[in-house]
Amino acid sequence: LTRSLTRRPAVDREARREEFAAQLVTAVEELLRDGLSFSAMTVDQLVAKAGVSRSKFYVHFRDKHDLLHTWFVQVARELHAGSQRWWSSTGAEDRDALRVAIGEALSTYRPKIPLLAATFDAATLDDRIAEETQGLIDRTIASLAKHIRAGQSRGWIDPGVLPTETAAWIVWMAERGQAQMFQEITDREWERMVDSCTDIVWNMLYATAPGRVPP
Amino acid sequence: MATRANRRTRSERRDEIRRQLLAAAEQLLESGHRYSELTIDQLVRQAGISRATFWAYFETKGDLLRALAEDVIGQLLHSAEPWWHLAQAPTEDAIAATIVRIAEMYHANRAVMAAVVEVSSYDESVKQALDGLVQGTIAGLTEHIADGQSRGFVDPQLDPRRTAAWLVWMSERGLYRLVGPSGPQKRRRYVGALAHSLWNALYATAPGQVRN
Repeated sequence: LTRSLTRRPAVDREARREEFAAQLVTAVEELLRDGLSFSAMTVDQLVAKAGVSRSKFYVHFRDKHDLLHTWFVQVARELHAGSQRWWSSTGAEDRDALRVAIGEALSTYRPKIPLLAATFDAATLDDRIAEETQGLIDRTIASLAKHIRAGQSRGWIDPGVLPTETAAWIVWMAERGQAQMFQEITDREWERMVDSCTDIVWNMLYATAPGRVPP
Repeated sequence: MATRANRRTRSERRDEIRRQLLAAAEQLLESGHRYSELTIDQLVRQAGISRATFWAYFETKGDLLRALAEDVIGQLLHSAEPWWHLAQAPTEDAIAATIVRIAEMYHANRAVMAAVVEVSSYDESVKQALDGLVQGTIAGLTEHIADGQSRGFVDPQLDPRRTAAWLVWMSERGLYRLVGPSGPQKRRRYVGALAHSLWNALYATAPGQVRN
């Protein structure tokens, strides 16, 4: 009985903290849209935008990086799951199927790009954020490398591709390309960029596979 | 006569101070210091000059990094130049040799480039120097893709500008995160993977490409 009494408030507190983080992060996004960079943002500006008190902020978070870290830990799992369709495909997929899969992966990222770009920027200054962002990158590289190896053993991915190293270049292309080019992008331009990304990945991995190249 | 000689001496001295400070900054960055944590005192002590001399040539610490960045960025752009002007179908080996040259130059200057990336996350003028490198490279690669398509050695399906943008951002970040921190053996694998990726992405499926 004692245990359940002490445990429930802890769970509630964590849930409240995450809910509060979501509310604050919305304010961060608005400030980013107003043209303020995350590095220049102060906690005062942030709480003013969110309409909460400074003291309430500091009850839950040490500083603005702590807030960003909390948000990122929550979304990292969702981002990784968004790319499952691509990695789990086990057939000799065609370009259209790859387009759907890459479109799905990038659309998971799309609404979060301004905050994700701020998070990756903050990683150069904050070790905890660096660790989490590197964790997501490493998991994504590992999953894509596994997909490449499976495709190579079945003959629908170029056997000359180094799985882990090539996956690493592709993952950084996606991270950096989105952060730099997808900040204020129309739907039409987004679709064309996804087409272009698909063409690149198709050529890099699949187009020259032995099972595909005409003799 | 005497005034002219003095002036020349002064401008020579200015260049020398600049070189000393750049070398000092490079040494400190290479020994693991973060640029944001370097002090002017550390810089002038390493360079063997006085604080007053520093302030005579640079207004801020950011000025010094910008000078370093322009130097390195100019070299990187220069080494990619022959690639943009290929008039005929390149071989995979020729592409690989170009990529190795750029990557090794990046690696030799990794301390400066890492400082540029770090500082560009909060300093607008350093960010602009880095953006200049990236946009210049995107423009060069876009032209190369369009030209190669008209000559039949680049995949005609590719959208030149968008393809160039994805590939340049890939290279910029991969050089910083993958090539910069790696030792020779790992670096060879990353650079090899980049060269093969670019070969596959642009040239391997072109109609005029001789398959080997």
